[in-house]
Amino acid sequence: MTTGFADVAGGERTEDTALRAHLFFDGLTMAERRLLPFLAEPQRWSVLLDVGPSVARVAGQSLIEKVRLATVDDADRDEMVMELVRLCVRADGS
Amino acid sequence: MAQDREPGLARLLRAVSTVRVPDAVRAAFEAEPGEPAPGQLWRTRWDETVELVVLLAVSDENVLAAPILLDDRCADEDTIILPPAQNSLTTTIAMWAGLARQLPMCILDRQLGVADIGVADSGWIERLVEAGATRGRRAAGPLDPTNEVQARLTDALDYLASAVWAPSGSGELGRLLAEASLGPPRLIELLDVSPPTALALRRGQAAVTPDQAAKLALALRLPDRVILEANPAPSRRLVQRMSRPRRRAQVNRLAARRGVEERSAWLAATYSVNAMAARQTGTQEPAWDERIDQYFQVTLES
Repeated sequence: MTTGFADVAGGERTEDTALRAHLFFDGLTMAERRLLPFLAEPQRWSVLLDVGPSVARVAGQSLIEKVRLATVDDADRDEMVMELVRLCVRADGS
Repeated sequence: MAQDREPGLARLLRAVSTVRVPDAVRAAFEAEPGEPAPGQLWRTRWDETVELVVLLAVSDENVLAAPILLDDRCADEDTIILPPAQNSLTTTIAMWAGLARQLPMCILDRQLGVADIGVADSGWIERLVEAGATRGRRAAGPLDPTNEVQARLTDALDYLASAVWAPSGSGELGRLLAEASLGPPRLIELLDVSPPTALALRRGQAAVTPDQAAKLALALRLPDRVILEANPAPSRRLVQRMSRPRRRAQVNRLAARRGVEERSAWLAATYSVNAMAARQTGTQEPAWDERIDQYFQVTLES
């Protein structure tokens, strides 16, 4: 049986994760928003950003570090990253 | 403030008007490009990529060059920062020695000056540091802007290193045209070229462009690529001589005069010199510089 207390706490946590993801997303450049959903595919970075391989590598590693610093010690790390990916994909498609 | 309301362009022009280019730099930049030598500072250019470099070694076809920046704030630990007294630009130069690499001669565009770096001796970097140069610093982490500057220079140098203007074909074009019985009259009609060009193509002394290869593909019943690969390659020594900065300056004047791209003018000049030399000297290696001088005298001074 689900208690009302647990429901409220879970909902607050989700809202908080979404808010933090939005704040982080707002601080990203257009190139970073394009790159973020593909951080696990470094072979695509150069084409996605339309820059040379060295610049793309640095841009990708820099973004990985930014995400890491923003989510370090965060219990909702995975949720926040998923929300960021959703925001970036939506922004890219709009 | 009045300055805040000043348009951006006007502010820029006012700022530029206060900049004084050292006489030595202006003289070097405006002079006919000379022969490259170690220690010289050059502007390199290929398509849209432009970088400043210092030459560390020079061979017939290549230069060993390190990129330089006039901003030393993001210099990495392998970069040597030369004070104004150690170069003719009389400003601080960040010499990215760790990125030094072989680049083809043809990318050298304009000489800017010289740096007093004594690269002929081993231990030259240590001596530079003893004489007042300093080193950059190691990047603090993935977010350090030094990484971005280094990456941008690396990509630019990769692009410059790939620069090629001379074709490297098999030279079978003349035979292909002969086998298909495509003589000069038919080539004039088919490719819309002048009689001398048609003759040169038929003799295998000129190369077809990609557009011309596409037109020939139908007549020869061969793919465009095969026709382009059959283009004659000009003599390697001629390509070497035509790749010198002095020749590139002449090629650019020719391109401007004819209203064509630099690469087209380069090829046209090279194949013309090649054809002239083939007619006049037989099988011996021609005196290329004399032939090239003759060609540009005729084309640029007429």
